[in-house]
Amino acid sequence: MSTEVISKYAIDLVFVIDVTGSMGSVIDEVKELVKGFSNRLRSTMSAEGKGLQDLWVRIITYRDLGEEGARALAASQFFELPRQEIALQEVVDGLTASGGGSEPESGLEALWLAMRSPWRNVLRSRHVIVMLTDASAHPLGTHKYPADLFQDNIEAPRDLVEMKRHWGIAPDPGVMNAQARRLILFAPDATPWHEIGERWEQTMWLQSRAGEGCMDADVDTILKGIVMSV
Amino acid sequence: MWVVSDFVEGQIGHAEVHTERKIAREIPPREETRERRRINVGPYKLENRIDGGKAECWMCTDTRDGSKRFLKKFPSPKMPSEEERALDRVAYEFQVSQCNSFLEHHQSIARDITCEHVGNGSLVRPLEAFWHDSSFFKIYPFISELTPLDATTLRSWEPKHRVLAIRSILLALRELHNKKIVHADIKKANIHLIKVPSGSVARLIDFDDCYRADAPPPPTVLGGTEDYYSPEVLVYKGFAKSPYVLKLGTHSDLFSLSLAIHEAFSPSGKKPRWTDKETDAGIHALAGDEVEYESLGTGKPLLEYRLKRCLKLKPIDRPNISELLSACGTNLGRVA
Repeated sequence: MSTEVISKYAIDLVFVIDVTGSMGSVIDEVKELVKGFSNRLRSTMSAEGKGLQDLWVRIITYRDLGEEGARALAASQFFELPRQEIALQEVVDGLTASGGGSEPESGLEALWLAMRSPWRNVLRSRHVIVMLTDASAHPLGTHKYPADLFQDNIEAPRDLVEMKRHWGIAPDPGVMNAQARRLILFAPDATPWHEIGERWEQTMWLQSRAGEGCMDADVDTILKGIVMSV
Repeated sequence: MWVVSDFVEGQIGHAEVHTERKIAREIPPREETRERRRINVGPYKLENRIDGGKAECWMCTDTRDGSKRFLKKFPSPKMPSEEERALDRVAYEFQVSQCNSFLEHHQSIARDITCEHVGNGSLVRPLEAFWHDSSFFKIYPFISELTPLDATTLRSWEPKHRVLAIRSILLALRELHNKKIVHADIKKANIHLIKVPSGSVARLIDFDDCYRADAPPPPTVLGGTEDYYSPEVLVYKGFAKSPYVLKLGTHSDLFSLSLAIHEAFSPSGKKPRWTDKETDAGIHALAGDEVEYESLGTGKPLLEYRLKRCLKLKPIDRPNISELLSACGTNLGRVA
């Protein structure tokens, strides 16, 4: 009889992916990652003494609002895994790396969209955002948020300080669940990721090389980052 | 690759430290980036990263005297930057004051955690707490002989040694409770045993979620581990409701302790059972369900009865730590 009782977490996971031209390799990694994702996550968590109660996954992609307007941001619904794994796979298989022009991109608007996801709030919830980019981001306010993507009445942040406040500064939980929120940042040492990686609570920054497609973000590293953050 | 910040010269704890910039801005090749970085946090040279839950934990060496230490980097709170001051000075100053209060709180708790009661000390108290760059760090002594409370290890123990171990755990917790400090994260993993000729001595670790019994932190800040939440913690944090006023306090630790002891000493090695459905103990207690508490093999029915009563919904119905200790009996000999 096993005597080890492990905690089971309800994980809501949002991948925020920069899909500009240089990100082809990481998009391939994400395509690889989502094949049998719930089983892989479950087994990686189990190896770390953690359990997975259930898993919901959402994909948000972005390029540059300045170049492409509202089309630069796209968001899927949450997929409940493993039940909707095929539907998730279809979304991910449709991702292609293109456009974006030169840096910076619209990563902060995409991150805000992720923060406003319809998270589930239960005991042992974990709200994990995995951000994958190899580029800097425009300051907020450079371009308008696509209104139809933001369906709640919380006013979007006007600058990074306001966005940090929305992320939560203890004891103020901001717009997220203070105990559940996690940000795993695969991003270069560039504006604004350095500031976010160093100064935002509950954030794990794994540095990628600027302009080189977030090469450190392979399947194992992403999985391990998620499990460690839980 | 785990990027830890580029630590610079600064004041850490009691010591003025001068550290080298160890992270080059040029990122090394992919294979190399997977290697663990060796950097310094003030006088502490990081060696092995170890599992510490969501916190970043390292084994390290204090370069001042070569001693082995355990370092914990907190994921929150974070010190605001100078850029934030330029943008919103009032908000910046408020955040800095919150960060300073956080440090004072941890230092104050650490000062109160004394370890005189049993042998070398029943509480593994933090040695240092400090802000470094944007993050908060705590340093604990490295004790190699700590053994986690584990049912497999304890299965063969004689009743007397079981009682001695439980009494030792209670004595350790009493050190805190006598000072009106709530541990707030009592769980199996935070209770360790050290073998001594006469049995074992308990060591409590991880005082990061401690709070003064008369001043609990806000619900968003109150820490702990969900599996061990008492009914009052569940209600306080908004996960459940109760018609009763359930105050947080030292009795909240006893609820968690009863679960941990059951996991360690019961034949099943699990938390006590309420129904076939897996639900949290606190939720069952709130529902008024009757618990099945297995024998702990202590040969002390009163002790086991009182440990079971620690799972009562209303804190007033739970025994206090002195009542639990008295149920251990007096004819046990020295613990250490």
